[in-house]
Amino acid sequence: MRRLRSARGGGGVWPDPGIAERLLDGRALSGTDAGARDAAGAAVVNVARLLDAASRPLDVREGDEEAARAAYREARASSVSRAFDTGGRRGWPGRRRGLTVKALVGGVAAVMALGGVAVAAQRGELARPFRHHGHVVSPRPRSTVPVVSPPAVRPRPSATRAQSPAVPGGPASAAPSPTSSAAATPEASAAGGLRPGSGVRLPGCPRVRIPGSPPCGPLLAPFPAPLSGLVLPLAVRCRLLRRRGLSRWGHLPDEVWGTPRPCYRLPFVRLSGAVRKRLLGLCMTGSSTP
Amino acid sequence: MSKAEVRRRARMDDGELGDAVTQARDGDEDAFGVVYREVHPMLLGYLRGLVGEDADDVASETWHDVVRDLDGFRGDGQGFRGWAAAIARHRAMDHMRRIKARPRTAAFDETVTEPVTPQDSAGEALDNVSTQQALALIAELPQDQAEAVLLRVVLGLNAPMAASVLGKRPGAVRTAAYRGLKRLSERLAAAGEQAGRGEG
Repeated sequence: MRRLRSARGGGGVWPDPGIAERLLDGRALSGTDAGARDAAGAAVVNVARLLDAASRPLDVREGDEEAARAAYREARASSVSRAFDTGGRRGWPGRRRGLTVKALVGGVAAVMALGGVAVAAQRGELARPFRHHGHVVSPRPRSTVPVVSPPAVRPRPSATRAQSPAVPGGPASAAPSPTSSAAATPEASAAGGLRPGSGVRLPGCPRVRIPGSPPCGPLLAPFPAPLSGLVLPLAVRCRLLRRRGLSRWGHLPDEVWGTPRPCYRLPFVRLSGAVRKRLLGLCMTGSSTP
Repeated sequence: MSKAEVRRRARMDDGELGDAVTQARDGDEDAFGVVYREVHPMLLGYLRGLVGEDADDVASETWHDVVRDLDGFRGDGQGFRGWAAAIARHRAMDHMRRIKARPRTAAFDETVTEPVTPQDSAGEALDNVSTQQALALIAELPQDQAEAVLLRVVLGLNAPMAASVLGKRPGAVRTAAYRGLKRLSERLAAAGEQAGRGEG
């Protein structure tokens, strides 16, 4: 301690960073460091001797190198086999492989589920949320010959609507399709006479129906001639189509699920005037074709 | 004085060691032998300062981990020394956790009380000190100082690499090493005075 104090007194605070770095790096205190070495005194020399002794190699236990070589060979062999198992991709973790298998199985299950729903919808065997308004969709007939089913309900005056073409010149006017049975359902029969409060007052019809007076003709006709064109807004036209037995998406009861219909109003889409007119034209001419 | 001026044992150049590590990673067992003979004595000295007599067993565990993870190592010789030292440190910490206490190694007082000449008692004692006794004296320092000195002196790491091994900043490691050297010099001086009084 006396030596250390004397060293501090002669050369400042010990250890000097430069000398300490040389000691830690194992560099010799050469003649150029004589000033610093004298300043540090014997303390630096003693520490240097101690560090020199500590840095000497220790005696290695026999057999350790051979054991390390054996571990090296084993690790190399397992590494090569692991690379072979994974097709050359080293470090492929088993957890990631498990996730890939799970994703694959999930994807296959999703495809099968959606495919099953599509097939069931095509056959008309879907559960209630996919059925049309109240009427049960019968499975598609297997035969290609159209079957004309008689009306299932009693005839009503509004049944004359079935004889009127849905679209002028459309196929429905030529021959009734198998779907015409759906028009005979109570829902469809209600389309002939609008429910109170839910109808649309058309031009030429009184606001209040006079008892005993014949029903308003334009109301019974789905697309009366005076109203052709762009008189009615799209919502009204499509509502009339639904009264005729179409679903809210504009589908006929026996149509293939997924058939696009322009009466379906896309949310948050503001149609421009030209597009709106075009859609109205489609609604008038194409969508009502059974 | 003359022994202190002798440069320490020449270590393999970092570039050569890095090349040997690369060849060992590619499957050259002879290159792995070169790496082992170069690094193992340093690791053993570092572990001797940390865990004492159990250093050989901990070193074996360290090499087991080194050869297992050698494929993922990228770096030069200095980096490999630091990487191996980090693995050895983790294994030593696990070992110390297992034994629940830091073992006391050989006492340095037994060696410095050997007969020495009255002119330079501490210096003469240090001439005869063995490597294990020197490591035991360093191991008696506070752990942060002991580890900083061991990594710098025994393993030959520079300050940034030692800092990465210890998970500290290089400045903190330098400070810890300086304080360790200062404490070592104080203990050596105290031991020399005690030996001188015994002679008188």
